[in-house]
Amino acid sequence: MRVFVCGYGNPFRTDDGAGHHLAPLLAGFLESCGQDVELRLEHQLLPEMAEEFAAFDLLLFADARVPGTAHGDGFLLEEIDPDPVLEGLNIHSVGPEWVLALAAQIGGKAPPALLLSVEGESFDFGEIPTPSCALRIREAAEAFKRWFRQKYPRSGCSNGAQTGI
Amino acid sequence: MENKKNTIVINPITRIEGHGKITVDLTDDGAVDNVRFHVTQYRGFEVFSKGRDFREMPVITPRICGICPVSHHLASAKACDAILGVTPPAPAAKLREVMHMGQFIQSHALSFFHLSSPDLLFGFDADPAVRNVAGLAKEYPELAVAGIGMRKFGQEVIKTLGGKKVHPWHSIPGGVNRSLRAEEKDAMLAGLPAHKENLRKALSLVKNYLAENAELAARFATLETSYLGLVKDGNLELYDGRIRLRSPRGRITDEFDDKDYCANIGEHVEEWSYLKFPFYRPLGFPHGSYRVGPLGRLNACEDIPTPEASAELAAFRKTTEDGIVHYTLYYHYARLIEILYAMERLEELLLDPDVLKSDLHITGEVSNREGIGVVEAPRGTLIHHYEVDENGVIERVNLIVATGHNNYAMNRGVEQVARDYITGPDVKEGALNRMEHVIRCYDPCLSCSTHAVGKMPLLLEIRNSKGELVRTVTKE
Repeated sequence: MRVFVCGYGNPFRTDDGAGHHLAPLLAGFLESCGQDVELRLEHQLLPEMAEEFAAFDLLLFADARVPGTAHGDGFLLEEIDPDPVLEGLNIHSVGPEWVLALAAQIGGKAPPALLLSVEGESFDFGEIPTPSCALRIREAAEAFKRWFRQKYPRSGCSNGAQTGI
Repeated sequence: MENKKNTIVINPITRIEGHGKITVDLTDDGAVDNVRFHVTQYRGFEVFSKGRDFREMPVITPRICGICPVSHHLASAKACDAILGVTPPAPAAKLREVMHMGQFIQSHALSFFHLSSPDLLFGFDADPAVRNVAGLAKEYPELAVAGIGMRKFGQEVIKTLGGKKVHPWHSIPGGVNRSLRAEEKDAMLAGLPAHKENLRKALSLVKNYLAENAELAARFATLETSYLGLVKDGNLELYDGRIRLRSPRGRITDEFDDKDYCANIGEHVEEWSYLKFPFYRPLGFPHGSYRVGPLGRLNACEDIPTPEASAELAAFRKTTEDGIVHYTLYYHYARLIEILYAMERLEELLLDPDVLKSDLHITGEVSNREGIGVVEAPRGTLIHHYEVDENGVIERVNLIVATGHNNYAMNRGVEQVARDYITGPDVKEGALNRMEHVIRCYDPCLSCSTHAVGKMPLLLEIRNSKGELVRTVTKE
């Protein structure tokens, strides 16, 4: 399975860089059980990324989330669909749904996609996530492992497989 | 007399880079009383850069933005050159300019193709479900693909020299850290003709739109202002030139060296916005306010020093009798002309043998306690000003960002459109979008420091004079 893993956000603004810390954990897990992974760490999602999606079987997006918006869980794991209207409020908050919609239009294909978003606590200057956000990043990675094993039981990523997490 | 008002707040603005808010105050009878465009996020770079070694600044300051990091990178490097008291070798200056042209191409392409063209092609009153980039890709697939390709091309130019598309590292105090390889140069040259052809098609589209909507274009947020931009021998210059101010009637008000910006440019502060309001000091605020960016530069210069863009500028100036174009919607046209210039200038640079040479860097020690670097960013004139101690430790930083110069004009433009389209609290979606489009014309980069899932959608709040919420409208 070819998997595109993209962590995005500003790694110089503390928890806004949560995606940068989470995405390598996801990629490490998938690679450890034989998946073909392309890992990207970006400042923001951009339109040209849409051109590349058709080459993948699964897209994973990892981002920060504003506090208090994850229904008490600290992170959200959502299967997402193309949606051009929910394009976000500006180019820096263009969501993966928006890029998926563009991909569907220009390439005719938008692969299955998952958004993992972790609540931040501080968005001030700094390169290290706050301890509470770091904990949520690890929890989100574990939740993804469970989701992936359930969704793709024949992927080779069973409980006994080596993982990078 | 009781001064009872309703207030409409639009927060944040969609499809611009950063965080902003528009507040419309209504009188009791529903007329627009006052309009303000607020910038609500504080960057803090001028504060936290203190105490750092000045040589770090070309790496630190690009983090201000994910869209125009190259502009900050170059302005910062030029300020550092001044602290060292050196002039980078010609190959280094040309290589910096190569990256700069890549930046203009990618940034302007994003602004036009992805942010603004849906409004022009579908109309301000079109269903938001259609009036977006996916709608563009469906109805105008060639245009959407051309826009993506142009952005990608510009970003590849940046990545080739700077290692990364966003936040590259190439310029260093005194020069650059690498030149081009022949095969890299050839690859860039090979890509140019197709993108130039696509740009011509986009130009044709915009010119047709402006011709067919001449009445709207002449009225939409039009302001008679002065214009500011860098020039070299009077011509358009994006990397290194003198700062020129041209009056609304076309007279050259002033032209001065970048190091003299302090004596000529002041910054007015309003309590309701983090973004300052620069103005030309001799005329004071607000009379000394001016506009920058594509429209500002094309109005400020005499000509463009590349043939095809020069011809396009001549056509652009036929819009008005005196050749000065005050129409805000013409920012889009000017932006496309600048992409054409950037492509032509990039070709010139790539055909120059200097870009393959290895004479890239002049070393030096701190010889000046002050350094000023000015470039034209896609959005307008960008000024970096550093003061250091004898060891090169930053003591003071002043940044005048491109978007700031247009702050007054954006406020005035939004106010004009609000007066035209708003009467009372029942504001239609198309009216909101027109107000946003005024801001998009200027393509401001307010701050792209953070983003996160879960931000509020576009919100319109109507409040009475006591601050009580009368009505909330969420833009879906």
